[in-house]
Amino acid sequence: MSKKLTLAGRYQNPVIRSHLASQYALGTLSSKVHQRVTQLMQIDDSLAREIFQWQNQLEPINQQIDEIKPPKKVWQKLSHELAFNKAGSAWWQSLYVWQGATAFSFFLILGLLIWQPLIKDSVESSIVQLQGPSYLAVLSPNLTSELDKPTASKKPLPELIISAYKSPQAGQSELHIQWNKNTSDIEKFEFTETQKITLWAIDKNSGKQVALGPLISTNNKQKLSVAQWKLIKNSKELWLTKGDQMDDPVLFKGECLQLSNWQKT
Amino acid sequence: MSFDATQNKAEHIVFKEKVEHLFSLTRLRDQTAFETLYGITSSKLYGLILKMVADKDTAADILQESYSKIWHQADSYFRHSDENWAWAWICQLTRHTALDHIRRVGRRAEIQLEEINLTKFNDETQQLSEQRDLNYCLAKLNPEPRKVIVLAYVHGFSHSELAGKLQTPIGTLKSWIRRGLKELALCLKS
Repeated sequence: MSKKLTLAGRYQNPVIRSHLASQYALGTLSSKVHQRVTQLMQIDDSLAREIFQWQNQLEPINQQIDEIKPPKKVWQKLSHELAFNKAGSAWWQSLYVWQGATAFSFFLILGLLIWQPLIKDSVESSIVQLQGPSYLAVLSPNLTSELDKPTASKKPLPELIISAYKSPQAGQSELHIQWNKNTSDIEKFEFTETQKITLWAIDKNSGKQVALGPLISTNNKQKLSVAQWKLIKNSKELWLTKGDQMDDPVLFKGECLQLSNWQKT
Repeated sequence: MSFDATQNKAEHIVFKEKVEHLFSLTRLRDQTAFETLYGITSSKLYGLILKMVADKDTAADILQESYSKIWHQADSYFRHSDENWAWAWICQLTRHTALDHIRRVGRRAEIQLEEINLTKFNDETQQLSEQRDLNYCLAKLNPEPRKVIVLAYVHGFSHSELAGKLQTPIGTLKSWIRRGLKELALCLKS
């Protein structure tokens, strides 16, 4: 038996897996073993889950540690490193010498825009009035459904992001459905029309499962009626089923989060 | 469980839910959400790093590196729809970043062994805790395994560092940790 096979077999031993998961979370593995377990987590979902479980179980120890405010320079350096808002500040700085002329041009253009009557196109204005998403649900694959669990050879399904945008005009609110954009090869996960995928809202008070309608396509937008908006507003979870019946297999599910409150802060 | 303990627990649950929400948006590359996440978590993580690395400038560098990883590696977080594990994942990533630093350059300053964390896991906790949470289960362990597990977790001490500080043979120490973790797992599952 090759050394690789011996190692793979060794990592299937539940006692060793439990030992690795707990000591990985505790931080007492040697750096070599630590690296190997980190790599293994990428392909071994159940080991990753066990490690996450240990991390979560040990985390309350952190509550005993005093909080200490970090120096302000940490965020400044971090936002610089991650190039946050870099484009905006660099743009303005590059115009520093030309500020007078730039300001004049800016107000001239602004004036023209204000007095341009044709700009008020009704369709465009309704799009402009859509603000940031009011509700967001990150739908994860439901591994207990008929979908196979991911294995080393089979790529796991990505997450589906559903966001609801409120419009002041009735019936103009929108539901945006897209795969997690950090996932590569998303075209491989596109649903087909024959699959009859249905979106459901789970009511936060009654727990009742109510259909929101068929999902036409991923990476798409759908208009929401007032009734559909209310269902999303009152939902604790959104589900996607294969089929349009309540007891059809759930392919994806995720918590529906209201975003408006914290966005204002 | 005392009123204060119950209240702290409830506050922590709310905190973890908020982190989960902000982290979900961070995964979608939402810079504002990431900044808010930094605002509510950075003091906790900086305190955590300073338990492992005494030098404040080094700790600040590790904090920056950790958040950079949180931003870039957010996708490797394994989301379970019914669990709020993002905060534990963030803590773990930060601890491992600090541990990597310690393994690379060694500890520059002497970290003192502390008893503060251990006093929380005493008999009173065991009697009053209605739930089989970590405090309850740690309190049920023998003092030695409990002590080494908390010290390894809080300060990031390796087996050999702990053996030296506690003047205990390394074999005995490994056995305490192994046995302690096994008993913890059993207690938390039951």
